Amino acid sequence: MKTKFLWIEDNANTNLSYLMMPIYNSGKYDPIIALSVADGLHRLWQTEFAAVVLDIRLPPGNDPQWTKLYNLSGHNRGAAQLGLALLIALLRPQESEIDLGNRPAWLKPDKIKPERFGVLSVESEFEVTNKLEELGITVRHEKTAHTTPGTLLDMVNQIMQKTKPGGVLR
Amino acid sequence: MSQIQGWLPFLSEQWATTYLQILFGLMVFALGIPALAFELIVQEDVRHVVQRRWHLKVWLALVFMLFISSILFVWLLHPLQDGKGGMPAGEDPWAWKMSVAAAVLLTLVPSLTFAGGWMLFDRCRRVKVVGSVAKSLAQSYDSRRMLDESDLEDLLYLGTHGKAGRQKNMVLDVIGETAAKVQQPEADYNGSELEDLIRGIEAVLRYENQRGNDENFTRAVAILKNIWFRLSTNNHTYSSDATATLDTLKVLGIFAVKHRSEPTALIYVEEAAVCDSDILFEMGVAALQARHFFIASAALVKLESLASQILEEGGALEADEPRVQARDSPLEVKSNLVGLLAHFSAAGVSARRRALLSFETNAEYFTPTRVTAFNEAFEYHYNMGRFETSDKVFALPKLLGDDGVPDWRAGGA
Repeated sequence: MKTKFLWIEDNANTNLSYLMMPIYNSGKYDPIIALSVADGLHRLWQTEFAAVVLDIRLPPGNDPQWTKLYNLSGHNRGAAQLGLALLIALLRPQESEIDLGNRPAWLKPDKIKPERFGVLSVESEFEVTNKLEELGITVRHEKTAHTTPGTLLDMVNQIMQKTKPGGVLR
Repeated sequence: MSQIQGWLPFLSEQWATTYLQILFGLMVFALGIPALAFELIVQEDVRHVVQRRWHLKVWLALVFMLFISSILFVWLLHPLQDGKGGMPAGEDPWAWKMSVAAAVLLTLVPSLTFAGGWMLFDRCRRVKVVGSVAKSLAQSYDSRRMLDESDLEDLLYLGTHGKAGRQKNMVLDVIGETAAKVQQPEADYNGSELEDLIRGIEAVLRYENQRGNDENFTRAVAILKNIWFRLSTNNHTYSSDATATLDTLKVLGIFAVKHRSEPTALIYVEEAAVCDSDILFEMGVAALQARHFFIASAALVKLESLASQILEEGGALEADEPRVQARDSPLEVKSNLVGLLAHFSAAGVSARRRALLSFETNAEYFTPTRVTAFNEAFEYHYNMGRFETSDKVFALPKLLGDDGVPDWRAGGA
């Protein structure tokens, strides 16, 4: 079956859509797009993904818990860092103030591992490196005006390389 | 009391005439102002629905009330005569009572009429009209297990003629909520109750004089996706509602490719991917014809992915992983994939390069041989009346070369 990966990014369909063309041209992956943190989580609970790439500055979407967190930050995506909050809720649930509910029975624990996640965000390395390293996420890229079309494909390839049997597992 | 008696004018003929003139003036005011506002402010489609429904009866009741008041005034509270122009009200208790009654009548009835007219006007606001149609639709379903046709007609009329954006979304939301109600697990849904409602979405978005905008199209695809998800989980993917859902998704998807923004078209591709290969094929071809290669490529990837789910036995799904069911047979999905690849092959060097990559990486889907798969695809599209596609499929072997080695630099069909 074609390898599915999830990209949680509110600009995925608009000004960052150019990152998708190399994915389409590769013929290797089936990208699924989620435009908010709530939508992303909903997709994660529905389908198994080989890789998940997400932004740090995500809108909350239609979920009261995430909306509350967003409101507490003064409706500021940069301050709320809901993408990071999602990663913490998934990878370190004991440290999270968000209750993700019961994980679907079919979703095995090893599918929610840091190796499967990548971060593509405007935050500089300096701003988020420590936090991501604490979570065990090593595939990350800073979004800039010069981000090349192949960036997303490279990130997914890196994640696949780390998670495939015989790959560089942490 | 005596002060009031002294202050109230005696109901002489002169006063009665004055009262009657005032009453007439107030009637015109009380009925005319709401009527004028109704004509000027309430949009035509809302007026149409309001007039068709119950509100006209209230309006008539108000007019009738004023009419009765006038009769009462003239025949029961008629002017008292003393032959000399009347006498002071304070000197005749009966005349005084009549004067009070006339004054109350004059004040109260037009005031009530005006208030009633204003309330009626307020109820003509679009949001309230849509809400009341939605409530009536839900009640009809609760009582008869079917949607009332006249309610449905009113709802779709409001959606079709409403302006793009908020007005159409209001109706789309009611459609979504109604579908969710009918399809809820305890509702004994049989897969045919929603056909007219679902097909109405197309009318709401594609009405020539008031087409839906990107926001409306996005809202509609979310509704259709939810409907399909519930159809799929209830094993109704071959029902008439399922056919209506797929037809609507296809028509709106193709329209979005041609006339709406790229992000909107991409959302349609994403959602169609879990339903039907036919939609992906049609959207992909439409995108190629419109030279929207990004959308065409997205459709191709989704079609490849759908093929991998259907053609690979069991796939790689976890045992109990939920999956929205597509309703394609292996032949359909394979033929649609070959058909779209044939269009890619004929759409220029770059598109052909992408098509050939697909033939290489998905070779296991074209079984037992690629030639057999091409022949099957040719017959499938030929029998579907898609001659342009079958011609392009016919040209594929030549493009791929006699030795079957794909070369995207070679000439296309």
